[in-house]
Amino acid sequence: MKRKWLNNTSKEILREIESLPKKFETFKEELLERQDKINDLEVIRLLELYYSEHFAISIFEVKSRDGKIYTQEYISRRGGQFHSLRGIVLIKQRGKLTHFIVRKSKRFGVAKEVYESIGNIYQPTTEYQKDKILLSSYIKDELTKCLHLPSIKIDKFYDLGNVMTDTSMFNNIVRVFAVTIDVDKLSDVSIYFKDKTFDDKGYSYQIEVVPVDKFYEFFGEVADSFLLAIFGRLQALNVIKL
Amino acid sequence: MESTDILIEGLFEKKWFKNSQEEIRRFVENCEENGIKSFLNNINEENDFGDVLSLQKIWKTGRIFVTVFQIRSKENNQIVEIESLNWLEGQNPLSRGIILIEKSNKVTHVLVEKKFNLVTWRQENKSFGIAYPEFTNGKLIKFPNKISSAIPNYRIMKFWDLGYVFADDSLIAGKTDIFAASVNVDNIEEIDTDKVIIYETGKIDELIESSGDSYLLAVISRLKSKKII
Repeated sequence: MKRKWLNNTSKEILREIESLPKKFETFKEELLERQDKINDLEVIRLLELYYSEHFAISIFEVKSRDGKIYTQEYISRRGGQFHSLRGIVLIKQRGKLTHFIVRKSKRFGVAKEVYESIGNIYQPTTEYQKDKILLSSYIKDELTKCLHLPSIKIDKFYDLGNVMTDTSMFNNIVRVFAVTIDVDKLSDVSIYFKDKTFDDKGYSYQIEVVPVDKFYEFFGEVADSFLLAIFGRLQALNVIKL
Repeated sequence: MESTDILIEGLFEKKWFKNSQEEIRRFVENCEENGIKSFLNNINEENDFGDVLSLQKIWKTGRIFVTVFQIRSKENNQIVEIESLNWLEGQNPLSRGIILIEKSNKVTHVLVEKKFNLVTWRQENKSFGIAYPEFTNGKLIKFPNKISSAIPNYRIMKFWDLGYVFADDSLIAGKTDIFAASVNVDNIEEIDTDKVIIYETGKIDELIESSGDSYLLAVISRLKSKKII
């Protein structure tokens, strides 16, 4: 059934929705599914729609329970609400957790070199998302590429659930995870990325191996909200015991 | 924040700004928000990724602005376009944090906000947002009304500035400040549980597992790394 807010939306904006580039297909589907009533707000119409290379901004006119009319806006990734996965790799040597792997990336927007979680790995298909074995095998393949390793053998996979980027601004939900890999010696993996800089993602980054005894210091300083969320969830699950 | 004149002067010293189209330069000059000008002033001619050539696009809505820069990569000399988002203020206008209840110098409970989430369409437990915290001599003196009304008869004991986080550094340029504050209350039963969720500190893992708010999780991780909880 066609939404009331769509009927109230100008032809010009409806044309803009229709002519969104193909890569915005998931965003478009999600936009058109938005209900006429969200929580206590009545959605009147879509007032403005902006889009760029990676995201779109939708500005709706809404009416509150007490009759006030105002605008509500939110930002969406072009690939939709469930766009990507972010994770961390824990290294075990002879069954004991000794190190963890993160990225050190040069990010233009924040104008800094930042430690961050490993990603962005695109969300797999719905079938893969629901099945932990399929999801784990998808992540194994993606991590191999992200870490520039010839192969990777995952010992344990931890699905750490969803994290919302910033609900006041974004409708983006990121799935976070951790994996453990068991190696004989650290150089079995570090040889592939030690002192190397990669730039296959549109920004340059290095892969860093941090000893576990630096956990406190590291997470006291790191600013990537996903890494901090992963750290919190791993502690809650007792994977990291401090 | 620096004055508008100084910010504009600073921009005209940058080659990438001078190389940007006149229409774009005029848009920036006429922007009322100094947050935009400050952000642009911090963009150097060159960074670790490459040389900044020009500002290709800039536009804003009521709360945020978007920039698209043209950059020549140092690695392969390719020219790429990099886009980022930011709050009009240049950073998140809301500091996000949680409140701890302290009894005899010991943290006994954690308080978080109960709010309907427009993304998940359900009640969520999330961090509190404070727009303009009031400090006197470095001490937070009171919470905004929406928090005060939910926690009657409180006294702020400690305030922890937990630094900042980047909500998503792949896209959002602005940072978000995070904090925690501890309070003393006369009677925990008086707290309005329609607005606030109370967790015993022993059950904080339940909160970590159930909340999807990245700021809340970041605050707890920082508190744990500082061994406050």
